[in-house]
Order: sequence, then structure tokens, then C-alpha cells
Amino acid sequence: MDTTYDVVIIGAGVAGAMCACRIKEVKPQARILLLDAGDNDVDDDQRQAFVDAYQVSTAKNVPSPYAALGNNKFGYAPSSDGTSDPVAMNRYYVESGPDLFKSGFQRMVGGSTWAWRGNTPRFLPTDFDLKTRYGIAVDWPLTYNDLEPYYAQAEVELGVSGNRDEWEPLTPRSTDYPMPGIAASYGDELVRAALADIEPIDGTPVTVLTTPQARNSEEYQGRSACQGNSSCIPICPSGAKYDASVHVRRARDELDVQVRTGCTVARLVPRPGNVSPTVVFRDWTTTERAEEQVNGTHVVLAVNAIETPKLWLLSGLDNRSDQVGRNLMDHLAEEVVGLFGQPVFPYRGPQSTLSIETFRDGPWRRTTGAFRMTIGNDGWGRFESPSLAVDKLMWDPAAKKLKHYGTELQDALAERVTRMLRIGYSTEQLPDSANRVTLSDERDGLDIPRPKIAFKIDDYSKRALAYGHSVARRIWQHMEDTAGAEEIEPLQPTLKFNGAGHPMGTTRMGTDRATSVVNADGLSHAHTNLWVVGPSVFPTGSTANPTLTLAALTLRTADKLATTLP
Amino acid sequence: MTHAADFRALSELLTGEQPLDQATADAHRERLARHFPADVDRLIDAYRAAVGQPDPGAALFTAVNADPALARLARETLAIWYTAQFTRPDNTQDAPDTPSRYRAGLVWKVISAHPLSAAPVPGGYGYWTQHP
Ligand SMILES: Cc1cc2nc3c(=O)[nH]c(=O)nc-3n(C[C@H](O)[C@H](O)[C@H](O)COP(=O)(O)OP(=O)(O)OC[C@H]3O[C@@H](n4cnc5c(N)ncnc54)[C@H](O)[C@@H]3O)c2cc1C
Ligand code: SF4
Repeated sequence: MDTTYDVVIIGAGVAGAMCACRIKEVKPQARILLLDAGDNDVDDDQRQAFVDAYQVSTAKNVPSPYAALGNNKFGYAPSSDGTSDPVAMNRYYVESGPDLFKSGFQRMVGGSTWAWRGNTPRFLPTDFDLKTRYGIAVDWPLTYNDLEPYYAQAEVELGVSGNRDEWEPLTPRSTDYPMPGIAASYGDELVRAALADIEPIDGTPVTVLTTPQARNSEEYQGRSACQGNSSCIPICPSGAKYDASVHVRRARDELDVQVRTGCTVARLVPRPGNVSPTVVFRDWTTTERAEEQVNGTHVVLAVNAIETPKLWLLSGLDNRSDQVGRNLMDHLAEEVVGLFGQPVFPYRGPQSTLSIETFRDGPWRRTTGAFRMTIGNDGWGRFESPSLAVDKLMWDPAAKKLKHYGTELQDALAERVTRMLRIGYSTEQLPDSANRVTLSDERDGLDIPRPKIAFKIDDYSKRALAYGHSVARRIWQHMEDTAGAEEIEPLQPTLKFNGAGHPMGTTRMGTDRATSVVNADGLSHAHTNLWVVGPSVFPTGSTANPTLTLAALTLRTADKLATTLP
Repeated sequence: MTHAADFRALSELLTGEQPLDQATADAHRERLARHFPADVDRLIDAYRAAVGQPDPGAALFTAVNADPALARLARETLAIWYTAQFTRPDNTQDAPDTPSRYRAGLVWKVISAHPLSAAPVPGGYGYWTQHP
């Protein structure tokens, strides 16, 4: 193959694929190579095959549509499973604790957005200067206003539906959303009505908004409006939910970006002089799986917040700041479930359409993490699936006898499941240098070290989980008092948590090269023409889902990079 | 009556759903028989004894609950009709045999939803704003 490119981009997830498209749109002559470890297709047949695999899987968990991909099956570029089960998580990660890092990712062409939920709120302006404002963590090297134009562009790229009037006060906007807000479900509207007269909690109003989401509320850029399949995580059958197959196809088919799949980058090798490192990779789909190498004037790392620091460290790249791999963050998520007073009919439409954003910022943030709340439209979610509800109602495990059968069982099931509702909260976690990705002695199928993860939930996060529970519990109390809700649990905070699928922070940006890895443009402080895009560059994680913000930063980085090209 | 017809009929009693599809009943019976070889015939015998009773469903319910192995198989028979999936004797899961059998699971209809990942027809954008 031709071994010299203007830009070599490693990773064809949303960050890498969008970066390739933007550079090519600005500089059509640029020679760009996009390398990805996955070897899946990005067409309709592939999507259908994922749906079929999901339907016949036993667990219906996040990896179920993708488990049979060669890179996962043979361990050549394994994904992390993304479950709360330590055994599953450690199939790829090597976790040293003391707490379990529960968020995985998908190593496949298109990356983790195949499986994501697609919710895309912006960060709040205050999220960018926590140090100045509250004396905690660090400030970003850029402000909300710096990023705002890119937020607007990212919303167009992903195809975000949202209602401007609801969001303008929280996140000032220069544009309308590309599409109107997604329609709330029948049950969501019952909940919204039940919360219309709730008193403020600790002085904070409980306001229900339509969540902005990269999910089409009308046909958009050739993709259909949402059909309400209700399986957004882990696979959208219609493609109405954005995934990065959109940008991979655009890069490959419309913009003449060279895309090579099945190619796992094994390391970067610094070259003498003022040039970017050589990229060394292996095509695991060939029998020899021999090492190949390629040079680009620029190299962009876009392999998420676990693989980016892993690759950096195993390549022995500059780490004088000692920040590579550190400050790993997630949004620790929990929920309080209950039965609403009347049927809300879950499992119809997108998994969640409404949210409560008022607890994302407040003076308590000096000591206690903030959180975003969502109203689920997916019953009790991970807490109790419909099939588990069937088993609970028909079977007495102690006596080993049937409890109900026939129409009585049907009625009991309908009565229970149609009233299932969950209120989730997803909390802020501060950067902690001890929470980090390093290299394990254990190796994957290509003999590349697996990532080792140390992770601990600090008191700030525990207080956030406890406060999130307290607020969710009081919202449920209101529904118990006024809307017949019952069977609320857990009644006490458990401090248990789920991963949100949002690894962030491991090659953070900053102005000071002693305490950060890249600058505000995503350019390495130490290495010439080596750039990083994706959630690893976040100095702090906010309470918002990360992808819109990483997309905005990616477009900004791509523009900066493109201006240096001839 | 044949084995096949009787398995379908006892499934109708257990699920309360009538009529159940014979081809699906055959596939379900074969999958269960692979893991509960002795008990499928015994469950059918229990059904044959119950049909003569004034309330065959109640009689079958009482009969299976008097025999732990039959109770267990009755549970898995309900599970396979509801979800196309059941728990094997070794407590591992037996996955839906085909996507269409998954979609035909009874649970979705009973809870007035549609199989996850298979939107209702007719449906279209916004169907979920309406009472089902
Ligand atoms: C279940 C789940 C739900 C989520 N829900 C939301 C949500 O609602 N909202 C939100 O904002 N975010 C959500 N996320 C997070 C979101 O998916 C990520 O933020 C986003 O996908 C990150 O994009 P990325 O391009 O940086 O990384 P990825 O999507 O992980 O892509 C990385 C790419 O790099 C490739 N790669 C990795 N290693 C190598 C290598 N060595 N060589 C070559 N290629 C390599 C991979 O194959 C992949 O294509 C969710 C995630 C999960 C798992
Ligand atoms: S509800 Fe269905 S069609 Fe809509 S985004 Fe989710 S999976 Fe896709």
C-alpha cells in the first residue's frame, strides 16, 4: 500500500470517522487513511445480522449483537463487555480495583455508538470552570462559548432532535436543533403530569424536559424517523439512532477517504526529527497477521479513553506530565424503580425521552457531585426484565411450585409490568489521578498488552450517589402521595452503581504541559503532529453524556489540523 | 390424541392462550424434550389425566405442583411460550431458536408492547404517544 498520507487516523468510531470527514470537507485534496481494528460492514445487511443475533441471544445485554464478530471471538481486538459482572469485565480489562470499572466499549467499525443510547445534552457553561467556580478539580482550557459554534455543528453531524425553548436557558444556543424534540411516550406524559405540581426539592425545582437525542424525529440525511423499536441500547434496527457507520460510509463512499478495517494498531514509533510517529499495525484477517507500517504527516488517535492511553503507554511515547492513563472517569449511574399508579405501558418507543436537568449544578457541588436524571421508558431496565417478571410471578423458588398459570398469570403480568417505571440518576465523578489505565502483563490474541485498570469511588462520588437517591426517592414519594405509586425500591441508598459506558479523561487537555497531555486543540504537547480526539481529552466529565461534547471538540480539532494542510 | 396435539393443548391450559400454533408447539416440545427427556411424556400423561376433570386447568396445576420434576417442566414450558427461552436442568439458558420465535413470545402481547427490536406493524414514528 501507499505508505505516505497527509493524515492517518486510528479508530473509526464517531471521533475518528467524523474527524476524517471534516478534514476532507475542508481540504478535499488531503490524502487520509482511516484505520480500524473491527472488520464488520457498515451496511443494512450488517445491521440486520446484528438485530438477528440480538434476538436469539439469551442475555440481550450490550455485547449480545456483536459477540460473534471475529475480533471479539478470537480476541484479536477484543471489546470490553460493559456489564456489571466482574468476570465479564475482566475478559478484556484486567481490573485491580478496589472498585470495578463497569463501562465497556465496542471495538468495531463505527465503535461504541452502535450500542449507545444516543442521548446528547450539552455540557453546562459551569462544567468548564469547576476550579474557578467551586474550588474543585480543574478548569478546561476553553469555555462553553468557545465550543458553542462546534456544538451547533456537531448537532447537525449527529442529527439531534430537541426543543430550543426548553434548553436555551440552560445551554445558550446560536441555532435551532436540526429536528424538533422527540415525541414523549404515553406513559412519559402521565409522569410529566404527575410531577407538574411537585414542590422544589431542597430549593431546586424539578423540571421535566425533552432530552436532546441523536435520534431522528423526522427523516434526516437519508435515515428514517425513529420507528420505536425500543432497543436503542444495544442496537437500533432502523438506523434512526445515529451511529458512526454514518460517518464511516460518508468518508469511504463520498469523500474518498481510504478506510482499512481489520487493522489493529499495535504501536506508534517516534521518528527522528520534527515529524509524527510511524503507525505500526497488523491486519488480523490475514493468515500471517504480519506487521505493516504507515506514515502520515499527521497522526490522529481516536481509539477512546481506554485504548488511547494504552497505545500511548505501550509505544513509550512522551509521558513527562505523568498524566497519560490517569484521571479515568465515568458517570456512575443508579435508579429508583417503582410501580406507577396506572399503566404507563413501557417498552414502546425510545428507551428514554424525558429528563430532569436541575440537579446538574448548584452550590452543593463544592462537596457533592451533581447528577442528571432520566425518566425511563423501558420498565425497570436492568432491574427486572419482562422475562424475569414472568418467572417471578409464575414460580415460587423456595417451594419449587408454580404460583400462577393461565389467564391469571397473564393478568398479573400485565398489571405489574405495564406500571413499571424507573427514575435514573447519572452522577458526576471528579478526576482522580489514582484512577488509571496502565499496561497489564496479560496479552490479547495479537500479543498486545491488555489494559489494566485501577478504579476507586471517592467520597465526592458516594455523596453524589446518595444525594441522587434521596432526590429520586422524594420524587417517587410525591408520586406515591398523588398518583398511586407503590413498590418503590431501593428505599435506602445502596451506593451500588452501574457504569454509564462513558470512559473519559485519560489524556486530558490543558494549557500546562506539566499537568496535561494535549492542548485545547487536541495536539500533543510533546509530539509533533500527534493529535487526540475523543473523550480521553476531557479534563472533567460533567454530568452530561459525553458524545456530543467529544464530537464538538473533534470538529474543532479537525479544523485546526486542516488549516495546517496545504 | 397425539403427543403433538396434547403438548399443544396442555400449553393452552398453562398459558391461557388459545389457539396456539402447532408448528411452534412442536418446536418447543422438541427443545424441552432434549433437556427434560423423561419428563415431557410424564407432563403429557398428567395433562391426559386432567382433561377428564371438571376444571382441567386447575387439575393440571394441582398435579404438577405435587411433583417437583413436573412443576419444573411446567415452569419451563411457560417460559418457552412467553419468551422462546428456558432454563435447562443445569441452570444455563436455552436461547430462542430463531429470531421469529423470539418475536412470537407471548410476553410482549400480554404487556401491550412489542418485541424489543421489532417495532409494531402498523406503527411508525410516534405510535408510542398513544394508549396501546
Ligand atoms: C451502552 C452504552 C450507552 C451509551 N450511551 C450514550 C449516550 O446516551 N450518550 C452519549 O453521549 N454517549 C453514550 N455512550 C458513550 C458513547 O458510545 C461514546 O462516548 C462514544 O462512542 C465514544 O466515541 P469514540 O469514537 O471516542 O470511541 P469508540 O466509539 O469506542 O471508537 C473507537 C474506535 O477505535 C477502534 N480501535 C480501538 N482500538 C484500536 C486499535 N488498537 N487499532 C485500530 N482501531 C482501534 C475501535 O474499533 C473503534 O472503532 C454509551 C456507551 C455505551 C457502551
Ligand atoms: S426506538 Fe427503535 S428506531 Fe428509535 S432509536 Fe431506538 S432502536 Fe432506533
